[in-house]
Amino acid sequence: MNPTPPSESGSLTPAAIGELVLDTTPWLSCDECFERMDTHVEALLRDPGHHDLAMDRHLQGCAACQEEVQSLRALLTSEGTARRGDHGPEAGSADQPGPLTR
Amino acid sequence: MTERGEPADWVEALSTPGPGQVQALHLLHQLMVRAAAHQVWRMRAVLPNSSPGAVEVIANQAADEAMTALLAKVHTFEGRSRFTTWAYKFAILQAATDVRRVQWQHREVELHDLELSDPPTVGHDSPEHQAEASDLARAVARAMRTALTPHQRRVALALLVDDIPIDVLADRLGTSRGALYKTVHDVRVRLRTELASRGYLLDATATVAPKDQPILSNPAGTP
Repeated sequence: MNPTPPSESGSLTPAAIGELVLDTTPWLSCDECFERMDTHVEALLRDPGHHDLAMDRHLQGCAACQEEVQSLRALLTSEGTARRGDHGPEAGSADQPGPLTR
Repeated sequence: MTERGEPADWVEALSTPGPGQVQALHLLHQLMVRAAAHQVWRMRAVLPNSSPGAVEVIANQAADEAMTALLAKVHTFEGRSRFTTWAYKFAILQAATDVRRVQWQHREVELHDLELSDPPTVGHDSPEHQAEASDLARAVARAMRTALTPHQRRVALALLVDDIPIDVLADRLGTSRGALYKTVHDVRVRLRTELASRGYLLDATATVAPKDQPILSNPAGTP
């Protein structure tokens, strides 16, 4: 097996220090983030200024949950765009896959 | 049925045996494939093989697994969001997890402790900022050695310094994303408390400054 990429491994870069001392309070678990994800994203689409401190802090501190929330938001946005009659991104562009056969 | 041909009550349609259930399951699977494909496509750059065929295989497998997970929880849907939004998140979670697993399937994950010889890595242009950054890096390294357990240090280094995806590390360690995130959260609280006690943060609840700015409250540093 290939080793873990050695570059920067273990180095306390400014970015890594920022991650290590990030304030992720109030506590919110990944499970609870998943539970709230759908309502949170719909609230953001209704009101881009929507604020949920626990969700916001969790998403800053958990890259995986952050990606999934951003993805859900992008998917709903693209659906809304399509439903309004816009063509949106072409199939095969950055966020939109080509049609699947199944 | 809605204008889009979807059940007006998804939970009832999916839970009631008959032709309506078969149709609802078919529609739900289409939704799951759509969301999974969306997710795999977003992350395709990290795949060893990002051809449309490979993307399709991962998306379809993720959609199937996500649909199974959703159906096991369909009775918990409370209607606080649209059902389709609720359903999409299952597919997105599964697809993202699968992509990260494929991304790392031939890569070894090594947990290591903080090396005593690790030099602080700095990249600031001015000598003053460089000195501040070096001092902070030494303080963080010291706090990691004194305030964290070896397990906490290894997990923190793997996830936050070496950027190993949390799902991948959870899989290799036989634990869950949630358990690892709890470890990281505890690490952050301990480090912030320790650094605040030594004058490096205004207090343990202070908001961290942007990454290109020093977060020292005492640039001279307190040993």
